Amino acid sequence: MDHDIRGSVSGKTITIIVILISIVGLWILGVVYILEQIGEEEGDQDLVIYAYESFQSYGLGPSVIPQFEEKYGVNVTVVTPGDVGTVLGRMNMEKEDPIADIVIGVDNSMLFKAVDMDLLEPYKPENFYRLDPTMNFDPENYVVPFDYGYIAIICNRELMHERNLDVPEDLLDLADPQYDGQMLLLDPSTSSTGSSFMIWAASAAGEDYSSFFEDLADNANGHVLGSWDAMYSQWSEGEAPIAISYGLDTAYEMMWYGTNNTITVVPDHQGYRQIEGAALVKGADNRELAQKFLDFILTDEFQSQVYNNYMLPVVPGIEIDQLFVEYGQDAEVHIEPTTHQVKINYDDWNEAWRQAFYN
Amino acid sequence: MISGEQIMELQGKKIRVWMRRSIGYTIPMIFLVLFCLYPLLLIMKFGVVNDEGQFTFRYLIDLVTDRIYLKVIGFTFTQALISAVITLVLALPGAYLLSRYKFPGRSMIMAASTVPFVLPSLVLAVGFLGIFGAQGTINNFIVDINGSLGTTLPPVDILYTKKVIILAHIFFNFPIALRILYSRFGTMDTSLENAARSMGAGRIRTFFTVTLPQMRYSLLSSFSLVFTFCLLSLGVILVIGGLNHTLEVEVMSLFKGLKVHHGGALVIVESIIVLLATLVYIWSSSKEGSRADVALGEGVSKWSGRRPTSITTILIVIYILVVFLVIFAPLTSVGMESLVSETSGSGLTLEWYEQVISTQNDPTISISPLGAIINSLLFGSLTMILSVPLSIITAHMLHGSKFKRKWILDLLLLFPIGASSVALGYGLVKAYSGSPYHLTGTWYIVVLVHSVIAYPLGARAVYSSLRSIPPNLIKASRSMGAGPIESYFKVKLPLMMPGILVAAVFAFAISIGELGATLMVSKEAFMTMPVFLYRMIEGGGRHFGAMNAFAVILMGITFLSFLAIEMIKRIFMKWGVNN
Repeated sequence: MDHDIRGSVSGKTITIIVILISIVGLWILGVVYILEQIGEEEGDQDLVIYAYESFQSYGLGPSVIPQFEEKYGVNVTVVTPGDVGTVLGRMNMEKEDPIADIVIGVDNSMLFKAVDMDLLEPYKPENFYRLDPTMNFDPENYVVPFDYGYIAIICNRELMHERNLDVPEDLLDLADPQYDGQMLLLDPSTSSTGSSFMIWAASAAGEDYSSFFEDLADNANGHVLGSWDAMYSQWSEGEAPIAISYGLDTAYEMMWYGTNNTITVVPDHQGYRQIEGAALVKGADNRELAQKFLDFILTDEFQSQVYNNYMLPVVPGIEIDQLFVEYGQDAEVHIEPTTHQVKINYDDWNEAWRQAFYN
Repeated sequence: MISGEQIMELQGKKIRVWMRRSIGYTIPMIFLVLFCLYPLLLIMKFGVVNDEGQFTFRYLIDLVTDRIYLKVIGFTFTQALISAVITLVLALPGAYLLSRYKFPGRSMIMAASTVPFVLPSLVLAVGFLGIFGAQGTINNFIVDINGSLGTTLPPVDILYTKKVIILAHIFFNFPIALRILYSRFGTMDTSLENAARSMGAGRIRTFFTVTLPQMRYSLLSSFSLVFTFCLLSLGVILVIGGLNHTLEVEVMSLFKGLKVHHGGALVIVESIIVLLATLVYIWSSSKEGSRADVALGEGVSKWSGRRPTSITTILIVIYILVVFLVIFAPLTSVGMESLVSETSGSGLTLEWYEQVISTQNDPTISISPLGAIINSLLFGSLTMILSVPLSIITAHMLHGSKFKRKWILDLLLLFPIGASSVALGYGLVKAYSGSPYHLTGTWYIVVLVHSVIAYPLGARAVYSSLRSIPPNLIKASRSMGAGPIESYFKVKLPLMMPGILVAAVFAFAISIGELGATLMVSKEAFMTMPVFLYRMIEGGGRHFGAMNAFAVILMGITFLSFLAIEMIKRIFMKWGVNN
């Protein structure tokens, strides 16, 4: 039978099939060769760092990692699978055999989750004394803080004027009916900035946080976004005059566009700092080098670069950009809760937020 | 008397069929099980097993007794239904016109219509903002006409509402529906249509009473696909959907909140809903039977040559305008955005494109834009090469199977299409990061994952074509002396070509547009175009214009690639017809 099958195929068909298969085969070989080449360029991995995307894309990573590599003659790989939530989610999946040695971006709003899930290991660097003591949000030393920034209300100067709106003086003002439909908020369950904002709002409102969330939900009018970058770009395009962002946004605008259309509101009596830290991953393969990296974080070399992140150094006395000095603001009273307070209240706050916004 | 030799022969044939079938089932299934089913099951396991390793329904019960989750489930289902119906209604005339009439730029339209499929949702947001936003075209237009009415809010305020979600879903899924329906129209047996027309039925009546009923399977097939995609919608909601959460957004929230057990449980709930939708589809497609495949058809080529009459020309033009508004206007808006300078009032500029090129020297992006483009094309081509044969094999298995087996196969194929992309990403990490199989960061895991996502989609398209080939045609070619291989390559394959083309386009498009799973399993050196774009988006304001410029480049390259695929198809078709 086989003989019959072969016999009935014309030579032309066979030729065409053979040519086709050869082209495809050669193509595969070529592509695989190129990909192997590209993959090999990275070399050995002495230290693996997991970080949120903008650690690389804003430029903090690219400005400090090479310094560290040179200092110790090692090769560092930075992996950025998404935002901090995604990074922690991924580490949670790799718990049994962690790939990362260091995680960058664990902040004061989410440290408790990472500790709860047993992802981190405490380590106190020898130069820990350099840290501004008010920045030490973790008495158990699971994280080494590396930068901080205020969560702030930002207003589009032009639109505020056009629509005759008063610039809010503090966070509770956002409940005022004049802001109905005038703001973009962030979803705390998908955005880490949003999660900081929720904690800030709950701390500012105190006992009445549930009703404040209700008022916020009324005024937000459904304008709640899933990620900070989507929110910021839509706010820049004039979708709404008010949004939730960072304290150095005016400086940022000046720096990149040379314009000053952003009014940044950091309420004096309601300061909330997002303090970001790096941590040793539990079960890390390269512990020693990882610890060296954590020591490196509080050195001048690292701290003088955090401006790349549009954040401020956590070691006193580091010189900062003139624009940051000019347009940055400090609050007199800080209301960020301790890690312990966040831990015991987070679920209640989150539930109140859900009920207010999604019910 | 049957001689011993004949028995041997008969047995040999049986064994061959058996071998062919088991290989046909096994190969695609291995990929599916390893790179989709297994990772997903690992995630679902979280939903029913607690930290102590005990089986529990607690997490599932928590979810189904929560009012907000029930609301989310309801909304997810309703919006998917509405989006899918509107998408199909909009795509149907387009597919018909494209397959029945010849007009200039037809293959251009086909190629361009696929572009939305690869667009990251953040870029879509830019496009939608430009059209529907507070400062967008529509609002500006209304304000220009009416003057400012003293109101502080924009007159058309649909961003962050359910309406905009449906619009965005139409935008993303229109190409899929168009492609599948087009390939079905193209391979449809037109003798019934001709008969109806010659018996005096009008064109419209023929369409509704003869053509459309023959399309049932394809309509169902594209409906179920679009429905499933809308059910699993994530990016659109995050950027412009406001508070209208879908299940997938909640899955993402739970995993980001490190609540893996509830996350796993929600993935189970989500999968059950997708499953139910598919069961309906499988059931109704089985009812259809084989009535659609009747007499010997005249095939494809004859119809595609007809020139339109003047009334149809007008209809075509009107239709194209409508499609343009929904599909191409947002794309155009991205294009405009990439040419407008940030500093107001300084007109058009190419500075963003220059910035894209200058990222070559940007330390924050370790790879050049050209490198990202090349990576994408390499991955895209490998994905296509791997997944098209898988699609063809699977389509044959679907075609040759009895209902019972087909049912299971259909269900299994659903997994990559109907899988939560968030769960798949985490599941792949759970399965293949760390010992014993450390595959993350290799190039082949990227190709494998892209292929597994793509091939079931392609298989359905190829199957749709395969079904429409009249069995008599193959028999005829065999009786005229062609061997099975000869008749396969010269008769069957060319007739399957429209479906195969769809499979190729999907494979390439999925590979070029995939972001979530790629971010999870790939590494810096293998950065593809969407990952590059994501890096720019995350780079904040200073990359905003450049982001649009790169998005335009992404669209352009996608468009050109699809145009190339169209060309290759033509060559193939010619070869099939001439031989």
